[in-house]
Amino acid sequence: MDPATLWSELGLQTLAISGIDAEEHRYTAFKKEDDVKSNQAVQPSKASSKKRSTKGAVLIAIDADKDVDFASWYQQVILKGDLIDYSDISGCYVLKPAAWSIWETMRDWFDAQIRSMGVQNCAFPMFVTEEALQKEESHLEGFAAEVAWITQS
Amino acid sequence: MVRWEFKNPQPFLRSREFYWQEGHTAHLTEQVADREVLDILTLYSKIYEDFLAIPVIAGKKTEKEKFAGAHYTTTVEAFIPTTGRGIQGATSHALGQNFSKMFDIKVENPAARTAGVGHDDHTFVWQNSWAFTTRVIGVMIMVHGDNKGLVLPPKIAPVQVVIVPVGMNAQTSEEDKQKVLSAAESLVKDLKGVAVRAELDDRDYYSAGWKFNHWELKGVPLRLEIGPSELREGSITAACRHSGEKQRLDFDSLGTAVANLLGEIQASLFQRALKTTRQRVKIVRSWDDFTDALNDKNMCLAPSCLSEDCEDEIRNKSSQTAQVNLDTTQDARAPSMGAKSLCIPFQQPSVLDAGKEHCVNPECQQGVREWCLFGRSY
Repeated sequence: MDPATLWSELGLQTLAISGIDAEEHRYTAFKKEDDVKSNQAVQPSKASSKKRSTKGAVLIAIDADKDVDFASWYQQVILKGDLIDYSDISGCYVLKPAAWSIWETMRDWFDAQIRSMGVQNCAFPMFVTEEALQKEESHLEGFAAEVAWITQS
Repeated sequence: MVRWEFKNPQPFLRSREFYWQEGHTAHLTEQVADREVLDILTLYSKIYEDFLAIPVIAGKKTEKEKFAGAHYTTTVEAFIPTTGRGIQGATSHALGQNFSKMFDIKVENPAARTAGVGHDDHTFVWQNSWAFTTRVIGVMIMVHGDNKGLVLPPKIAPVQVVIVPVGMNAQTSEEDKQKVLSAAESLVKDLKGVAVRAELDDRDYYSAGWKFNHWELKGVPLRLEIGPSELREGSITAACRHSGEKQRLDFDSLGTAVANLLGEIQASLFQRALKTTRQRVKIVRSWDDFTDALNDKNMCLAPSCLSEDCEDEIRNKSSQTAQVNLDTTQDARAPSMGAKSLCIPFQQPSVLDAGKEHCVNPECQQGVREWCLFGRSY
């Protein structure tokens, strides 16, 4: 849907509040992998508390509620969903195959679109000189805080 | 791309190193550059809406929020319902001749050449720049994910369909097991044949129930269950990740049925997100309504004078009212955060009458100009 359609449909109409189906919140704790091998199906149990006890179990499922503790929920989903691994550097992450595949799907489609518009791809050096950066003063002001300077080599 | 952020890093949304698609183009005329800015923005909105099943609101940034050094900035803005915060989806900037004059980037101007001797036949180029980053993945997780884990829209899911053998136990004969497995294997082959990304989970050391949970956590859009009874009945059970709904599909023409079902899942995810976003964009005219809507975790579409001063005031005032109202367990950063302008939507709810309507900031002394989308944001 193009953005115009979205907006025109939104329009000035009364934004009716109708109930969103309450999602059934299921939590499933798993036994250790060794135990699972005995093929006993682990029944999902309902839980209303924020977290389930994980004593003696390797918890594979998400145990944070999206609506209650969003930050923990997000962290668990990206780790347990096999999208991200942390690295030794704060703020730098490993994008695991599933995440990278999602990125590639979008990037490749977009790339084909811009090529058909006549855009050609190329590569530029990652580093610029201090002089070049200072030349664009108005620009620099907006980014000054996030510029990393190399002061030793 | 390395951007040395010092704010709380959050995977995908805000990281020091991220991947992006970056575009820089140069054009002879302003008109051609302007058109490209919007063409690119349309592609970005398609990435969100057609691929990630997330509705976005397209518009222009205010002077305060535009890219530093740009002539103007266009953007697609998405919404995270759980936190009630907007998030900048992707931006496409017209840089005008700001940088070409700064760095002396000129081309021959065909128009000037015909004007004859004595004219400068070079002209500064009109530049654009545009980008989207791996942030899009974070937005997708936050919008669609649920308490069982990821929910991936079929179009971008690395695995679209997982096939899980079911209904077998110690009593099942080896022959029946082999029948099920070979049927499952040929099913995978058939699905791959119609360009469906399918995978068979034939690990015999995990129970079917364990596998169900495992693949739900990973967000695979569709699960097919196949066992001895399915083989007898000539149909299999299909379970949709996003809704939990199950249905039976006949073995005949299964490829087409699965492809159709994936299309339906994609559409249904988008419709669900669209419904929520529509409900959570409030059209407000008064300051009281503005803060009420904001504190109920909505975005606000409000009349604005678009001045930087007003934006600052709105931000400060909405951050004060939030202190009193918000549940702080939700998101430690959200409550103290004031609202900022997200965009001036291209699709305006109405033409504002400066004689009759007022900027949503009650202190504002200037004339109202456009409807502007405000919200707490990432």
